[in-house]
Amino acid sequence: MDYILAIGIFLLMFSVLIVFSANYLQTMKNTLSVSLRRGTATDLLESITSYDSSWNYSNVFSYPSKLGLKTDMYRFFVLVNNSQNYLKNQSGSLTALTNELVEINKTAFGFSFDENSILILDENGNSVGYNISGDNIIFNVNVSINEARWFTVYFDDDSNFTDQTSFVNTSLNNITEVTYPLEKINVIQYKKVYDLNLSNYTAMKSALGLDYDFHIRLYNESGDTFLDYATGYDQSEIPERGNVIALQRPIIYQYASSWKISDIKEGKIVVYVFG
Amino acid sequence: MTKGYLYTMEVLLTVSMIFIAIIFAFRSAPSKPALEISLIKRDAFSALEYLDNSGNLRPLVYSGKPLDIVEMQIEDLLRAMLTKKVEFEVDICKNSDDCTTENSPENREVIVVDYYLSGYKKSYDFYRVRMYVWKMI
Repeated sequence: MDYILAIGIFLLMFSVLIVFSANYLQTMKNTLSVSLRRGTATDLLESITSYDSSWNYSNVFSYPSKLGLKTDMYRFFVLVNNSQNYLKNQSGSLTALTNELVEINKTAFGFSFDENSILILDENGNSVGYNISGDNIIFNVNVSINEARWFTVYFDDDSNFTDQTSFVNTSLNNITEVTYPLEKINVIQYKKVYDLNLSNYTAMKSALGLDYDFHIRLYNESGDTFLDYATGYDQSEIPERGNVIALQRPIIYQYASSWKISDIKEGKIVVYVFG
Repeated sequence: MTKGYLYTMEVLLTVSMIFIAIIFAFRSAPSKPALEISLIKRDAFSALEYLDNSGNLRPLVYSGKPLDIVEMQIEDLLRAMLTKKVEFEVDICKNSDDCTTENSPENREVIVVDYYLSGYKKSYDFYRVRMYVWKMI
């Protein structure tokens, strides 16, 4: 009876040891797997939201080691104030102005940029048509008596948008507008998203030096996807089982249609790593 | 009977040794991947940078409203962007020694992220937006 009890207790403890060992090894393996994928996802997210020199989607040998979808954009504010202090003719009287001309000397920035990337937004976020006249960026505004209107001008220094200038009436120029210093902001560039979308996934994965499969999704403000970059043609393919690491970050991106920039929008990027 | 008793004692001794061995072997069991400090810091800075780039941060800071109200508004915006696993506190300081830690916990590891603003539109005042971030228990 004692022998049986002793052997029973020993077997029980031995089983416990085996179970513990198996769980330990499994947890170790799983933790390592998750850690590796998390590290890859973090690196990939950093790589996407970094800057990189240009590469061409049609030439796999030019694919970058960092995706670098970001670019520097510049913005500054313009104040158009229809009050006495801002009148060019200080003895003149105030009137509501229609198609008042605003002129901004582009050489004052001190560097060249893509003139087609100019985007002018009024205080309500509506796009304002512009043109280039010599060294000046020009546009028209309507401004009531004693009204102060703010405009935000954006431009990019390394984009390749197409021309979208429009007619600007230059006959009325009563107000001295005020421009404020440039701010540099970083945004996801339209050109780079376009290139990434057309690039070869397998070659890109190799260039990035990734051991795992990945999936990149860019979402707009409404939650709709505007880039779905993944392996093969089934772009919705994210495994439902196994270790899938997903990281996200909010982004600002250039919104354009047919290579004409029309807005700067907010969205988010989500990176999935698996496999 | 005495022999059997001794065997039982031996088994119990063996069991104790196995227990001790288990405790030694698994005392440093692998922990699940946690939010790392560097990641939290990076995410916090990215969130502030995003608010600035999207044109939401400066209008608030330079609005002329009391800074404690502005801090709450910024915290609301940040809350939507950061993981629910962290708590944070925003402090806006105009001078370098204005920032206080009064709302951050004293017994936790607190990550500090600073974001500097040099001006907005007509104002060229300097501000430091400071975030205190700590992991939730």
